Amino acid sequence: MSTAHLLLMSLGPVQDFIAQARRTRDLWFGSHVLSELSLEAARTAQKLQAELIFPALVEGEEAAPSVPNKLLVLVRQGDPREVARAAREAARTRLRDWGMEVWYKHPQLVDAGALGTAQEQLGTLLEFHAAWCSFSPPDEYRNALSFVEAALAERKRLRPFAPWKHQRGGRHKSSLDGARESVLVEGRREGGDWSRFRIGRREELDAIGLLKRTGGKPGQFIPVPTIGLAAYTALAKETKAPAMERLRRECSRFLTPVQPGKREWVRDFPFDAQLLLPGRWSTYLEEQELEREVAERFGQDFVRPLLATLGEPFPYVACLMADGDKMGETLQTLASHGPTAHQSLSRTLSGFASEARRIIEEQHRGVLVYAGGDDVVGFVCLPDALGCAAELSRAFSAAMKRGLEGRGVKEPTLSVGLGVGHVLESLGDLLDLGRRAEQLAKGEDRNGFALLARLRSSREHAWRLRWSDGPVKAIEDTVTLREKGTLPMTKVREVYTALRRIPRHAVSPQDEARWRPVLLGEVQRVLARVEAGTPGAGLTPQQAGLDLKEDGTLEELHTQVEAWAERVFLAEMLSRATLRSRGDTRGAA
Amino acid sequence: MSTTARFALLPRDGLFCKDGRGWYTSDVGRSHSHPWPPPSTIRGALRAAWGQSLMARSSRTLSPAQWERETQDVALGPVLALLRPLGEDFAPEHRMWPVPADALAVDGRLQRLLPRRPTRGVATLGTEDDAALEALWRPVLPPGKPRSLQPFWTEDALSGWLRGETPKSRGQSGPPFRVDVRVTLNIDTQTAEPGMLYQTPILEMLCREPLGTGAREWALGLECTLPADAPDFPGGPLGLGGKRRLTLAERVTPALFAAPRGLPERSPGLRLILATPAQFQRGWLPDGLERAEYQGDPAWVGTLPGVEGQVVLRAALVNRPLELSTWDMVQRRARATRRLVPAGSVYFFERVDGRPFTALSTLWLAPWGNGREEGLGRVLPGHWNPEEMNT
Amino acid sequence: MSMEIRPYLLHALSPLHAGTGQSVGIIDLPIARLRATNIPFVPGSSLKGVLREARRSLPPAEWEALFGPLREVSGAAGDEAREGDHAGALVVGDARLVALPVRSFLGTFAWVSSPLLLELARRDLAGLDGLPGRMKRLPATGARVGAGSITVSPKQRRLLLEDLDLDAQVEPAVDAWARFLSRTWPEEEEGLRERFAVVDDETMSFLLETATQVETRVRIDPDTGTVVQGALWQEESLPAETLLVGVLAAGRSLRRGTELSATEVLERALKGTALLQLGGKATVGRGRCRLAAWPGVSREARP
Repeated sequence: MSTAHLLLMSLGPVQDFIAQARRTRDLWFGSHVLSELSLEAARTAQKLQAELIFPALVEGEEAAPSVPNKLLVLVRQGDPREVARAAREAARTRLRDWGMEVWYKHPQLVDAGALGTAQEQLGTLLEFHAAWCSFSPPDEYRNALSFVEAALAERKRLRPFAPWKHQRGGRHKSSLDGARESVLVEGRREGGDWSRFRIGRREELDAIGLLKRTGGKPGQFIPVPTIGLAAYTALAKETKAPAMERLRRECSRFLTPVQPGKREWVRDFPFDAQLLLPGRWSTYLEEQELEREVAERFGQDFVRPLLATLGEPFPYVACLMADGDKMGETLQTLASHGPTAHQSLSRTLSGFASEARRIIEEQHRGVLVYAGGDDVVGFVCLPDALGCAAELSRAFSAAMKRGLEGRGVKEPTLSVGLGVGHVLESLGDLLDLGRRAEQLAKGEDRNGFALLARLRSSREHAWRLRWSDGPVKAIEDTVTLREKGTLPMTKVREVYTALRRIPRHAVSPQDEARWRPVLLGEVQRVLARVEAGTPGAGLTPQQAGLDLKEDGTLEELHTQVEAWAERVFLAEMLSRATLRSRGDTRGAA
Repeated sequence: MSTTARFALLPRDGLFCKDGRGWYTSDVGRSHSHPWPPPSTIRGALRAAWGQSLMARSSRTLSPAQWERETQDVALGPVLALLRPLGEDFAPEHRMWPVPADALAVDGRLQRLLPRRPTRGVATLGTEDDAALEALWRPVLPPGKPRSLQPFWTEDALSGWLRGETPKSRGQSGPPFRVDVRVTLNIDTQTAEPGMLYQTPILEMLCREPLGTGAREWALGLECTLPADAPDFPGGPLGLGGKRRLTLAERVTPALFAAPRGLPERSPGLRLILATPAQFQRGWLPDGLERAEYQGDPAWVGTLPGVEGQVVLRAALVNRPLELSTWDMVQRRARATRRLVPAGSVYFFERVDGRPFTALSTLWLAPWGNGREEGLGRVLPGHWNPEEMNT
Repeated sequence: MSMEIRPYLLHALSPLHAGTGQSVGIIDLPIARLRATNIPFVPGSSLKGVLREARRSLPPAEWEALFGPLREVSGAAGDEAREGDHAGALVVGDARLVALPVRSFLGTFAWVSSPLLLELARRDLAGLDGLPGRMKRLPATGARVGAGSITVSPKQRRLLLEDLDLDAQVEPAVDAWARFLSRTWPEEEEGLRERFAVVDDETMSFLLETATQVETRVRIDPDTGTVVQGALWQEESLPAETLLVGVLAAGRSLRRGTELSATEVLERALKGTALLQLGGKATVGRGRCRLAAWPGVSREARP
């Protein structure tokens, strides 16, 4: 049996790097940069005769949108250290060249004296770790894999760093990471690249930030407000076509439209939709160097009439994050079949990633940020978000079923979280909401769906259900209940208040016996009461979508009623996001 | 005549320690805050208070340059996080410590990470080619998915940890954040300025947990050196962090800074945990160590402040740096960014002569590295037996 | 002494909405509260702005010394450091709730406080003459009232608040607190003493969430005179009669050429009782409040 080396490499930083984004394009391009660096490393390894196990690089139309930052390769001949080193240097050189390319392309923006600073920033960004060992395929593959994984994890407990040597001092720091010195030139910022790339008056960018901001073409990225307001603009186009056309034409006079690509829905309004938010158009247009009066007039003449007939948009968006459950275990079990089994699963995962892009961008009104294997990040407009999450979960299960057929391995599921925040919230914060939603979705028992919304500056609502318990139907039923008007929000708030007055934990069995009926009684009483102005009679808990487990403990009842109230709050949010005809003020109470 | 003062700072209206990102990080003006005030912010507040008290005594207004000169000898010693039930006097049992990097939670259980010689069969490579780095011992990670830990440990948990015992509790969450939203008013129209909206994360010092047991409050305990005798200093509130939020001061005793009882005096190996962030000349690598060959492998060998004999660095558990960008009040401009080793990082040493370390307690809160006058680099000495994993 | 400090009482004369700010698109407008304890507060920054306007009659140099120079240009463009910039000598701390008016079966309403609220206020008030001692935590659900309370039936000794039925005992410290707080009233005030009650912290935390005023409001489109679709929100306020305690602090003037001691700064900021208008809701009769310091000499520095 011949021996080979198993080499595991990881590139970073990932999460922090992506989250450091102010404009939509920072986020998209940052994610693209990481993917390109991984691709560069992977291709370099291939050139040195190494064989990729993870990820599978599929060419052409079916290519996964992103290349993950962890690469597992088989080195049958040659020195694995040289492969790792070459991969690392290729990624580093690619980043450096790319950064310098945008540096020289935008002399208007950069301070020539900051060249050394910029080079240092580009040269020190990449984090690289690799671990390898020799093994005899296929039998020793499983052990070898666990060795290199452990070694890499252990090695990452120390993240060496050196102080920066090329700082000039007295400079503002990058608005994206708060640590690296700005490389932008000081003084007036007007016209040209400043407005093309929407670099604000007090905004600062380091060399990495500059790459994120200017690396792509303006118009290549769909702004988050445009995603959040997609259902609104679709309705506007459908019902108020002439007004929309006037607005569109006016926008084309001074704004570069975004390119829809395969995202047909973008054609409804291919501009930054924050223009449709009262209080935002003047700020946005002033940034584009329009006079304040002109900006105001734009709003009065072109947006106000639309808002007057359609109502104001609900300016929230969902950050979708999905992650395969127990993938580690699956891979470990599968490893006993040798590297070829992994290579085949790897192709399945790449296939799913391309499918995820289609589901988010073509079947729903959303934009994908990242999809590399079982890890998906994107933004979706609220009315499409539930359907999109469910479709991803179904597609993943189906892909896994196909990919693992006959292997005797339990098929992993996909947990999906939707974090909902304001469309103008910082992208890092939206991603954070999404990430927290994903964690909530995973829970202890995985295969979950979670919705987490931050509607005000402080209050959050969160709700989770496993996919097997039908979360989409549960929420949709609640939305219907709200829209019929039979369940007023006052009742929900009242139930919530009642909960506050009843302890969650009983201190004794007597206490438990005392409080359980109080809780049940309060909930039933509040729901049963007939409200003035509400159609029909009162509701039983069941009619209100609350299937009370009457034999539950006090704590279980508490949890159940609380989850129900959260579900209604969230359903209320979704129904507000779904457009109603003007003058309808349901949901007021 | 310089004197030492010890007091606790009680931020009355919460704390806001803006990081280097500025206000313009999003279209809704969200600023970002450090999760816990860096010592340099606290020293800034002390210097400002000292300047204020000089002005009050002399009835004159200091120019920025005078201010800079007259306050530069205000030095910060160790800074402690404190958490006490409302109304009690501060005592060592209220000390809270940064969670050490050699602790890990897997399957709901805390475990100690012990370093072991790299296994011969598996080789590694990092961001730079560095044989000494790859030859460092590595922590043995238990199987399972690590859970994130709470950021603070109680005095009990930490003093046990230094002895080599594992605490039962998963730790204490830090003070809660709230987000304050402010609009900027246009002076002429008295209406909100479009687009000028600021969201400020505020660290709240008051917490109520578990419910019903009354309130507890976070505070900062500190020791500082003042350039002149000033028995009443600060004598009134200070402005701490962004927007000069009011902070009350309460005198505390030296006992609050003393080493806990039961700390081991001797140990075959030395484990140093950073209680506050540290600034070293070469980044993550402690000052005083040089590249050398040790037992046939490349290594870092040298001396440590307050430790007898030559030592060899066996292992280091250090996360990404804490990047500190501060503002120069006098020059009215930003200072260069410093990259600090985060608090909670752990370093493991052995003596080159093979003898045990003695007098560990003299290292309690001893300063290490640069920025001592800013309270940086204070260490906690812990017990370590290199044989535990390597025989 | 680094800074001098002076506590003040903020008394809401009409419903007070001290919000977390009307953010873009944030639907509901809750009042500002401490996150962990839910204690309502009025941010010092809002008060400072109002005080700045209320003290326009000061000589311009002094006014600038107190509040700091104004920006010349509003918006991001004005947010640049300028030559001669200096910090205002006055720092305004947040005003925290000390007593909340709650509907009472007897005596129409009671001013309700709790040991935690009083303990926090005590810190701000330390050093003032006649400050009552610590209020002990109540062992269980219940209330403490003063001897002549009109909110408690003499026979049954119960305090009936909204739908809470609390066992009430007479406690001299409650009287002492009411007397102490009422010293900031312009005239002798009996009403506070008759209505002051202290409940346990758990009951208080329930009242903090349920005894504020919540109203549903709509936005009217100026062009059509109809309700703007989706512009429907709930606004929370502290009811009229709410009492809050805060502190002002000051150092020496930092303005070149304007010599003011910390004491002088505070005196100028707190000239007698002041009626202030907080928030932009004057048209609906909201946000009127009274800001007053405790009479008497400025207090000694604390140890």
